[in-house]
Amino acid sequence: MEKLTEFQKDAIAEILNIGMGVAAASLSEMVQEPVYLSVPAVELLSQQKAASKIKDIASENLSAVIESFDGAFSGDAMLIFPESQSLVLVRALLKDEDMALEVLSEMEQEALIEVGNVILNACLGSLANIFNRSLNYQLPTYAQGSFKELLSQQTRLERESEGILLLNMHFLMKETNIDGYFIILMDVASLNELSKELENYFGTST
Amino acid sequence: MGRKTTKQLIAKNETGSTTLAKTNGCSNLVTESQAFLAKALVDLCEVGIIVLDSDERITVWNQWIARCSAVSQKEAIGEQLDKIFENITSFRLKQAIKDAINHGIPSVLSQKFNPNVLPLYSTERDRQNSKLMSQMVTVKPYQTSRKQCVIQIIDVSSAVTRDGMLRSQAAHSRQQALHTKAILSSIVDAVVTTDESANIDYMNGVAENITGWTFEKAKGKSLDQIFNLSGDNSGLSEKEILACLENGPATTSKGKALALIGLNKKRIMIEHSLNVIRNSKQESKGLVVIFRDVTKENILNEKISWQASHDELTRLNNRYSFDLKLAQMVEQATVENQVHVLVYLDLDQFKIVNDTCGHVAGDELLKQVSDLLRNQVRERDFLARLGGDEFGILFFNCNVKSGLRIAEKIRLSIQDFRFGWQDKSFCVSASIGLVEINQHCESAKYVLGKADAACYVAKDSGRNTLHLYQQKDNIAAERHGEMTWISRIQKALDNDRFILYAQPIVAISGNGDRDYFEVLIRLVDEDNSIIPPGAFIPAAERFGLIGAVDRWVIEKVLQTIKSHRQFFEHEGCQLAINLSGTSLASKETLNFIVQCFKQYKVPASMIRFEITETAAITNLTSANHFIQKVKALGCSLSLDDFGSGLSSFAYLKNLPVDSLKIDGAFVKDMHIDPIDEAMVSSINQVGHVMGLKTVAEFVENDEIITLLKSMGVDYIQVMECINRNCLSILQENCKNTFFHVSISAQ
Repeated sequence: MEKLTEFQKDAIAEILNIGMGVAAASLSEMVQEPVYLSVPAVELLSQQKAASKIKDIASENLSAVIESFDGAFSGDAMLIFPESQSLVLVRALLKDEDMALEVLSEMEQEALIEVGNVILNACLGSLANIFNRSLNYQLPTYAQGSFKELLSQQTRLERESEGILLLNMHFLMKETNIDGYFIILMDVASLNELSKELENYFGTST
Repeated sequence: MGRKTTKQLIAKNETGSTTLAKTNGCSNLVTESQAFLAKALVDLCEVGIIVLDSDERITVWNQWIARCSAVSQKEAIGEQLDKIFENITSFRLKQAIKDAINHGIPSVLSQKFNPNVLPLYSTERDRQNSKLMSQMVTVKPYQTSRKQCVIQIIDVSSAVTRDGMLRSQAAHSRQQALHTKAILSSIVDAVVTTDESANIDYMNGVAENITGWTFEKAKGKSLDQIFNLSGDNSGLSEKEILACLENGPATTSKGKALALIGLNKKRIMIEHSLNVIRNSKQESKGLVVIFRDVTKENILNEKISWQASHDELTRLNNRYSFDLKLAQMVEQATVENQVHVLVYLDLDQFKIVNDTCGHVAGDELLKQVSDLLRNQVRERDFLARLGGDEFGILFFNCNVKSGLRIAEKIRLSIQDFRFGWQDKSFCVSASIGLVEINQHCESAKYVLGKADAACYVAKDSGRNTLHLYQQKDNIAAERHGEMTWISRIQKALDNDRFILYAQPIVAISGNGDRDYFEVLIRLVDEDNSIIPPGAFIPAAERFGLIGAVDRWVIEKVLQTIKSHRQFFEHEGCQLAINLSGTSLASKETLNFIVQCFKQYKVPASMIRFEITETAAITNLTSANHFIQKVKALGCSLSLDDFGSGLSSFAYLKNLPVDSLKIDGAFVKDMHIDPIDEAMVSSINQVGHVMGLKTVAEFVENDEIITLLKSMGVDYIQVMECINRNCLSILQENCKNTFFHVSISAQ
């Protein structure tokens, strides 16, 4: 697996943070309330390591919004929350204090898709902007299951050696503080491409 | 293709024109048919489709959107969205359009965040009612040579309605769940429910307390693990649980407490019911177990049940449980042809102890005798206190022979037992009746009656005796009911239905003592049968008729002597009259005696009174007074049954009697029992030292007579069942007369 240098990882984190800022602004406007999003660090991991990294939630049932993209580099961007947390998040955003349902309803799943869509669009958009490369995006979809099941749905990753960009992210609004993960699955070629783009943009950084 | 071309194409299609095909030749024909198809498909879609050009002008406006917006394609094409809809407030739509066109990014606008992106109405009616359509909107980039975007609008009104219904149902069921939970947590019973695999899915606080499991820990565990009943009582087994799940009959342990072993190993007595939870199709969907802690009730119940079946004092079974057991054994005997034995035991000395030392001593005697009996019976036998000083023993699966052997062992152990109270020691004995319980027994009552009768016969034949029931005992038994005695005694008094017998008391000392006779009373019943005193004297004592009986005897004796004066004077013999304790204490009786002597002019020396040791001691002061008075008249005094109660000689000094009658209980076995022999010997000696004549009662055979003679006992009183040989010896010793004098009232 190709490695990204520490500098490159920091650069990605910074770029994504810009996207998160945009997304947070959008979400804040959507819900008429301040929403903060943050990305602390970026890690490039194997699938197994990624699974163990998020083992605190990996065994749980997860809710995910997945958006595939291709173009200069291709991959799947995923926003993952424990199912129970996704419920809290959606209802906090919707200011719906009636927790009558124990699972996300169809409409709430769509709402979560929109939230994911806003974040993923902003982040992927900021990556694309920086490199001035255009990407093709699919409409986001909603998925449920364990981490393993979610990964297995992404046929793009056929070999385990292929990497994952893992970002831990925080949602913060009012009294709600939710941890989720932002994951980008990329094949080797795309990672190399990304690495190259980073090199082109920031210059060689060793 | 430029924007214009597209617009032209679509505009022409709207009017149904096919001119493009003609001008563009064959390849255009294909394009034209494709364009038609595309237009048709777009119009057929039951979603709204809008295509915006890079300058955000509308290039496609399908029929669906035309219908729902009430803006025709003609009006829409070429316009910008905010021209058509003046009040588009959704910043998200604007942002999505920009993202799609400028960055090629697709967006989703969910109904939740953007309920009504565009002012659309599902139906005309909705429009009239200003009921906006709920929409879900996607905005996708569509890049050809130009950057365009496709806006797709889906009517999600029905989904919103569904969502609302789901929510209200969920809220309702949650409310119900809260309601149910509140009920379940406030009731006093423990409630546990399971799913269809019998795994716990609910338990209330009471259930948590009783089992020691928190719901959190118990959740998902199997019911038999949490509802752990101790193995020794086949309670709620896995089998029972599964059976209930499958077949669903409710089971309950009501009335039968089971031990539940809590998480902390604590045993809690519970009553439970187990029932199946069914859905509307009657399929079993789980179980509900309701139980409650009955530990306290159980202890109380056990106590009550123990009290109901036991005698508090002796801790033996009581009459009630004895009757039940007897009935059961009679049933077994008749149905299963088994043989059992019923033993009816009556203490001979209880009344003495009770009267002389008080109830506390009496109670203690009963307790000690109970312990004694307990040690004599086998585990499977049933020992009960039937009331007062009466005990019943049921020997299970036992024939008469074995029953007699065990009963004799019991009799002997009681005989050997000495009851100590303060500084006194009492001999104790029992009269025992025994009856076989076999297939011929009619009822428990019948068997008990027979045993009672046998015991009565044993008592009547001198106490400390074992008697096996015989048919003739029945007659005695029939008359044994004490209550009937009141009227029978009263009638006998009124109608002179008593008769007097005399039993000789024979001098054996050879020093010139003269024989005398003890007068014994019998009752002549209405069928002219003769009833012995043991049958009615206790009743007469208990019901206050004894004084009258005593007076009847005194008067009758004096009357008889007067009318046979010559005979009695010739024989020169005395007649001994028994007096009860009541008469000893009664001035009335004393006056009556004085009066009678005057009236019948009988020399007082011809009369001897016999008072029992017990009666004398119980009423020591009045007895003393009485003795002194009748002695002053010239009568003799005997102390009867000496040794039966208090074997204390101390009292003797205070009682100025003339003779001692040694209790028959010591005499009848003295030839085989060295203790009895020693007792008789010592009483005799002490009596002699005090200048008293001694009399041995219940003399039954030659061996005893020889022994008594060697001891120097002055008199013997023979039983009626004396044998011929013995009689001849007595005749030698009593050249005077030896015959039974029957002095009848008639």
